[in-house]
Amino acid sequence: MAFFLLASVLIGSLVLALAVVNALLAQASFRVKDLSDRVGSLSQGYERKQLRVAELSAPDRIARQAHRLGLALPSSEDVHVIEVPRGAAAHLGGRGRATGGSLPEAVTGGSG
Amino acid sequence: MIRPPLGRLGALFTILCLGLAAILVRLVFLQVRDASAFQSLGAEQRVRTVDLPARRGSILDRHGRELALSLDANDVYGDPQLVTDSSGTAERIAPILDLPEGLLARELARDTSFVYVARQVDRDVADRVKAMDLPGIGLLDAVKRYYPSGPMAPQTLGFVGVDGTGLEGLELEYQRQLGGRNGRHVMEIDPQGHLIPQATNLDVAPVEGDDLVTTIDREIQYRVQVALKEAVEGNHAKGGTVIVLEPHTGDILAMATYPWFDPNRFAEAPASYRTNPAIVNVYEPGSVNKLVTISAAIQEHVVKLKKRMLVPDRLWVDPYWFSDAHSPPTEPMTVGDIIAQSSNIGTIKIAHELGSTKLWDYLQRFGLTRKTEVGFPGEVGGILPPIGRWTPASMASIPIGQGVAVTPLQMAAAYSAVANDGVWVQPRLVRGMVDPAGQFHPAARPVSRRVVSDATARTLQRLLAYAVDAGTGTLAQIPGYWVGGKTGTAQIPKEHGLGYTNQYIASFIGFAPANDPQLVVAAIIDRPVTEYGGLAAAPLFKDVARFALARLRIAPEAKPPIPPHALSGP
Repeated sequence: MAFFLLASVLIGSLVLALAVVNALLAQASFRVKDLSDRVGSLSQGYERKQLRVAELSAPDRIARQAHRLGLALPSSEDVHVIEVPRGAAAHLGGRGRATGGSLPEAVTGGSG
Repeated sequence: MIRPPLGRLGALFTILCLGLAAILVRLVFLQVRDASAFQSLGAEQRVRTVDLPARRGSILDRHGRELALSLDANDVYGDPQLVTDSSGTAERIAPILDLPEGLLARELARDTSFVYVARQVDRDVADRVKAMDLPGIGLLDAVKRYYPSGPMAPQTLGFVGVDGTGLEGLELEYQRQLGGRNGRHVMEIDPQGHLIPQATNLDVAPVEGDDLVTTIDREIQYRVQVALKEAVEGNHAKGGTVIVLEPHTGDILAMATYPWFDPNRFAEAPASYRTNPAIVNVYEPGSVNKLVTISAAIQEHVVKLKKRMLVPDRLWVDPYWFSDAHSPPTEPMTVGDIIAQSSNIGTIKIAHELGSTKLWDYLQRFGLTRKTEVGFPGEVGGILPPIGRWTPASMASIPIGQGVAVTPLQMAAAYSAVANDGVWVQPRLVRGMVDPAGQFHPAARPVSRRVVSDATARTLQRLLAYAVDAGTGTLAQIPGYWVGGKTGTAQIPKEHGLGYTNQYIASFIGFAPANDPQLVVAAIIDRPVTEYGGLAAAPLFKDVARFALARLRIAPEAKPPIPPHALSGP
């Protein structure tokens, strides 16, 4: 009788342990699936936002918005260029050569 | 005693043996000879392979902003054999998918087991279809290409077909790198279509494509397109092309051709709009080709810059009379005057002093006889008759850019060589690739070669600046900057037969600032009513260059007060 009881308890415990392990594995598997779906969904959301940012920052859209707000590129006649003495522009941080050293040395004058 | 029926037993035994032998033979046939065929048949019935499309790499501008990108999408398919009510199904999903209901109902009633209902449907739309859970309607994974700026450099970027393969432009040229590698999902299903647990269930993940970083500057490209459209429409022209190049690097900052199309709806555009004429079409350049003739003459010391030569108003070169557009009276001109006034006769006289062999040599050196190898599908080289087939008239027409055909890019690169102090740099559209791990891999350095000396190039820069200061290119002047360039007004050859039409291609190719060129702009207008390059194309150059100079933060600088045509040259 004692042997029968012991065997039953052992077998019962083993079956229970097996069920628990199986349940845990299944739960982990469901969680992996959930996380995987979530990653997919977030990736898609990110890509959609990336597209939206690209659409919103498109120069054509910006130009239309600017035009609506009354902004426009000036025509040549509207641009007034201030002649900076040669050499002075270097202090303004421009990229153009401003030292005058690049002036064509071969220029000897003449008319045209 | 009854004798056993040996005869019948023997016969029965023989029949049994034959039967067993037949079974054995059949077994050998099934299990040995035809085993692999039956295995494959069985696998076909229960194993399903689903392609997992790889995400196509994006195309970025030089600052990393998206010009083309791909998003996950779905193809919606139908199995008409499982569709219970084709009309009802069509009525429910047609409005969601924006499809004609009648056509969809007919498709779903066809005698087949698979029809595409809609391709590359946005995920949110596909989810709405899925939520209806209609019998016989299913979804497949797909990838959809988007061009968020619409018609932004469409002929350069190209476009992608519904199967995700590049069909034109950079999308086609870099298909292997952009496309990545599709993955696959292999699974076993039972006859009812249910997944068989514990059976084969294999996933091969797709490999994403690389992102392509172009040399295009999105803002400059946009401004170029706005200016080009205005110029073409304002001149009632057939079309036009603009290229903006960085002479030191060969980077193409913008490349546009009008009319263009929206690559998001490329199928609606005429085929002629979809090609990139800047690279795949040739045209007779006209007077802009005088750059090559004069470069060669200066480099070979054939002309002295201060020397004046008598230039008649017309010249007989067997079998034609050649004249200047404005037929000025016979007058002594310097090389600077010849360039500035775009004198055909003066250029022809210089070419005769140079000789055909040297002219041919310099046309080659400037890259007008071969492809630039910019890395674009369908690129063509120039068309120049072999020197052995040149006639006397060739030595009059080719120096002034007629009887020779080049691509706009070839000619822009030739001017770029002058702007780059005599070094020709291979133009390029791609800076590099970004792999899926985010690592940037720069493109190979562009090929470069010296075509004329530094001194010759600087002299040419000043001569071309004089053409803008006081010649045919005055409308290209930009307040605050010193600009160099050359106008071109080329007659268009007849499509059939010899000779020319009375229509023109107007062009202006130039650079700025002339004393230290930072960018080259080629502006070409096809058949403007204003005809002349100086009238139709020079203002377009000015518009584009003015914006690009500001965009590149190149400071204005006063130009030298003295016209350069009298400078002492080599």
